[in-house]
Amino acid sequence: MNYKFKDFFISYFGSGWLFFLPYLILYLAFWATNSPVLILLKVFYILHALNVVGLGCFIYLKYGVINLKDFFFWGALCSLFFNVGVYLEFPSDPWTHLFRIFQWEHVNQIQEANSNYKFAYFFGFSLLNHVDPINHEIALDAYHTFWALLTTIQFYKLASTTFISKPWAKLATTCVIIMLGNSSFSFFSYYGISSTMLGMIAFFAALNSLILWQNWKPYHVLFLISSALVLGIFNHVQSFLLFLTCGTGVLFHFTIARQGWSKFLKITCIGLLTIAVSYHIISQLSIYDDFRNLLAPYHLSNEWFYFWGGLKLFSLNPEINNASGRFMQILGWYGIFNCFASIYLIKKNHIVGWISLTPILFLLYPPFANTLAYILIKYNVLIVFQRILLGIPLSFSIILIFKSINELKFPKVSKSFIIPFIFIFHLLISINPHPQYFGRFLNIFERPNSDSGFEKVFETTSLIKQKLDHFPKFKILSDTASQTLINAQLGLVEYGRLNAKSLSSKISDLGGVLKVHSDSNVTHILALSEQPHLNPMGSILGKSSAHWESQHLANCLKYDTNLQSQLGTLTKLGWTKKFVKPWYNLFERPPNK
Amino acid sequence: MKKNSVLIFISILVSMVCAFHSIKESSPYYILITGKFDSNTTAQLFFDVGNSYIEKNSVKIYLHPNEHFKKLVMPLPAQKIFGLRFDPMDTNGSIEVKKISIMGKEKLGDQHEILLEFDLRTLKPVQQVDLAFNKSGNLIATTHNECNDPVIELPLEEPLDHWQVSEFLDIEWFQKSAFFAFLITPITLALSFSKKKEKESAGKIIFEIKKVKHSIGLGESFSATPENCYQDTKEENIRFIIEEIKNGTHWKKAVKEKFQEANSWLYEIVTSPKRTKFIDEFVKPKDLQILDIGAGWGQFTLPLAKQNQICSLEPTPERLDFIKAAAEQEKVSPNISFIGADYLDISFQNKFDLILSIGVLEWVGAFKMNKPPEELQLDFLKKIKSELKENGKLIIGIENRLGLKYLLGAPDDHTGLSNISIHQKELARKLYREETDQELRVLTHSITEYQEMLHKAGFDDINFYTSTPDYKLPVKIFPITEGKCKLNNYILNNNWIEEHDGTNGRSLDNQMILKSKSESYAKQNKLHEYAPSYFIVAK
Repeated sequence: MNYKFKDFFISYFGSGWLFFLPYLILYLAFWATNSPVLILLKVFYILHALNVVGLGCFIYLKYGVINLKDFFFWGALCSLFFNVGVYLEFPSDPWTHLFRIFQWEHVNQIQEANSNYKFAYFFGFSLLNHVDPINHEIALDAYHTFWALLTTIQFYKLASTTFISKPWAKLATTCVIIMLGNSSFSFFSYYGISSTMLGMIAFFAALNSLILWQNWKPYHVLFLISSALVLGIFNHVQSFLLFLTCGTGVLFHFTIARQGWSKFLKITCIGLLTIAVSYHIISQLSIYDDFRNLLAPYHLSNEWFYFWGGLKLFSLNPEINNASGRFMQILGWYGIFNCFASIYLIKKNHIVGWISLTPILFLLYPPFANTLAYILIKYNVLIVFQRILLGIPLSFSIILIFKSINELKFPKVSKSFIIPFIFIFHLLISINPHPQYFGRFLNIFERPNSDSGFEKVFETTSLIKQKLDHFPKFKILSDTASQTLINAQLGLVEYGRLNAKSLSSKISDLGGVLKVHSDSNVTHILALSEQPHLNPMGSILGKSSAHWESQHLANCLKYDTNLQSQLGTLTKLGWTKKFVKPWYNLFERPPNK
Repeated sequence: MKKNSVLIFISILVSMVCAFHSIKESSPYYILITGKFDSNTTAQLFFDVGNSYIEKNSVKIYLHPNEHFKKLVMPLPAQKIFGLRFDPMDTNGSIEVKKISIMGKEKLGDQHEILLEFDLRTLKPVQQVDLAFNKSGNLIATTHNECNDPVIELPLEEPLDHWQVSEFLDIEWFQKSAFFAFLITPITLALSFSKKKEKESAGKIIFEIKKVKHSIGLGESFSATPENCYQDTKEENIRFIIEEIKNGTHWKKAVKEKFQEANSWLYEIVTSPKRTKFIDEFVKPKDLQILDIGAGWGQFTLPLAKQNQICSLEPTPERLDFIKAAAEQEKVSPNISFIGADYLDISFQNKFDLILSIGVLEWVGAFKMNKPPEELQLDFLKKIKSELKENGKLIIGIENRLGLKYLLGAPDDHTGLSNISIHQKELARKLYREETDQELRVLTHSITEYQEMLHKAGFDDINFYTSTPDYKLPVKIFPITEGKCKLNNYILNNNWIEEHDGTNGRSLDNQMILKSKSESYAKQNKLHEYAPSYFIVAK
């Protein structure tokens, strides 16, 4: 094999992301021309086949070089991701991600799809669309493992570039898995099947390329960074923001390395002050009234901005609805320690220190903070500003400090002991009962669906899927939980999952059972046949994260004897009734009625 | 083994702690309220676990009007509870309560055990609610008009210490611990590989020769002797030295005894510390994986192995044996993999941080006849590029065919002939054939030709260093940066390094002429283009 081709081939797969580019290019071409989904799907199948063959060759080529130790490490992580599996607690966000994947089943032209600018969902659909809903759980476990592993690889690449030492890089990567998250949710678990994962992979790919820019030709670096950013933006626009902030940190590092601290400080201080003053003056102009008016309530509340205009990240009353509370949701106290460690590293101009601290410095800098806030308020909500902090490789700075301490002259502990002990230390602090302020590791083991038997709804969906072909205008009515799950798995219209309603309440809203029969275009009704036994504790993560009520599922799955007798009248009107696992009766409208 | 046992034990302990926390957090202690409601509303239960009644320590449940009694389940934490407060609704209306119980974790049949049953008559209306009893003895709680926060207190005679650690140490805990241990222990072990193992696996060299895959570790050797290889002395001389080393003589002394008088130039080349001057001053490699192509007598392999992992590649069997013997004596063989093969016959699957080709590139065409030597040289460089890591470096030590001493008649170091190699290769080939009736297969080049060749091979970042009097035993080394080199200033400051005949190390007779010409070129800032030899660092 030609050396250059061999090198390219190994980089294509070894990079952990370059193989997405052919998919992305095709997707964007089809997206721009709003072409038919079916054709693109077939092209993706061909690409999958080629990539599987290529991956096989790659493994063969690298087989000899992969040592047992690496194999064991990555195998252990794979086992962790797969056994923990996909997080699908109702009514968490992953159900929306699931819907976005399976919605493609019913989409003809690319731009008809919900969130069609997020390429990862179509990629996911091309992998999962032939899986029967009954096997969705295991298929999604594997799919989640695929993304989690690729994201971990990017963290590892960053760690091995910046730490030099492989064992310490592995430790840092493992600690990121334990500590990184949002509120009570582990990052790898919560975003496991979302487009955020590919966004993060792309962000780290761009960042790694920037750090290693000296190794390659300029056009090569430019190609890598720009293609990674395009990949990121077409999955989650936050990738670009993460790169902007952390990438600036990398540039600071290189500037100091070349010019020295004093020159850097002079230029940066003057530059930043000039921009801040100009920004302040410009923002006072009347054409910026809209800008000022939109931000004014947040400034006046004293909960979101400091007097100088930076976001109020540090305050004594962090709440879920203020800046410092949102800040703590991502970083927690552990993250604050990580910041201190980063400051120490910045003193030594260590690249990890810069990457870890620049996102925070950006949020404290008025021109950036106000512009970001304006955009978020205008197009989304301000509370998601915190996501910019996901770019911080949480734990890297702390691990580096541990590494430095271990390298000091006084009694040196063997790497083979100190590294696993630091890992165990992280495990222990992550099981604190206030997870949002420490780690989220233990929470990834939460499998509430299993506790309630709700995972068996996959079987229900499988059965209902068979009905789809016979009912061109299929529409099912059930309680919020069951309906959300079935609709997501079948890619049907997304239902307001956070609006907890039992079936009886929904039928009552529609005007009663007879009204549903006569007016509604509902083809099927899925009603509980008994009261399911749910864990009285409800959702631990829903409660601790305050994302939803702990009894949200219980509020949906309410068996009502009155409703049963009302639904009984439907059978007299020609509807058929069939028991469906685990605890449902499925009512089906007679044909032509 | 002992270390792994300790780590497994600790991982299992941590898994048990994790499992305990997990079960405790999700334990189904709960309040069961059996009641009837007349409106759509929200009920909320607050529990005081030592920090008063706060939203965080509460649970909400939505209620819908119902004609029959329904069971409301509201979870309690596995913590000591000092007080309970029930907000029955957030709108106007009433509820009829039949029973309020605190349920435990243990199950009696289908039902959880009852830890406490409240006497409904002891319930206290705190605000915005009136309590009464109907004929059936059920409690009727009716909220005041336009209420927003009706509160009933559920009195506890003493704090509710309803859970015990032992309750959690059951089969569920055991199963969860096993599950956590199954996931956590491999990661702990994977992070604990000892330095020794790390070195063993990191130093493993995997390569293919004649399409057969081989793998050797550090301290191990492999030999596939090629048909032709370079010899600078008779095999028996080297074998004799190896015997001496094995008999306990220090390798340097053994070489000295054999060659100091018989071949002093070879003795110098093999033992002089000057040999590694460039690496010592400009590269200083540490903790790298290095490939030493044409390792010769181990002049680079032996010193570098003290701080790096070396793959020492030397096709001449007796020289490889010499390196092994000397490495054993220097106690550095655990850091060296010894391979006896020609570099163009072997295909490495490892990538290296650093590849050394000191005095090798010019000889590449001499032992392979299938292609013209310049093509073989290019193949050689391309192959090196493919076997370097992303940021890996190649270091070449080689003569300059336009070296001033050669232009002024000094014999070529390889052929021993004057005024041949200084010409372009076509003319040089013709002259060499006329002189020897053989093909010229050993090629050296000028600085621009080296640059061109390295570019063609895929190297972008190429740095040259002049080495005087040559790269074999350098005395002064100067980098060439953007067409400038301090060698020019050095010579203009009336310094001089005696030039020698590269075939035998004897001082050249024309030192005065060489010095004078050198000064002329130095004045034009061009002497570096006529330096006798170069070190090249390419990425």
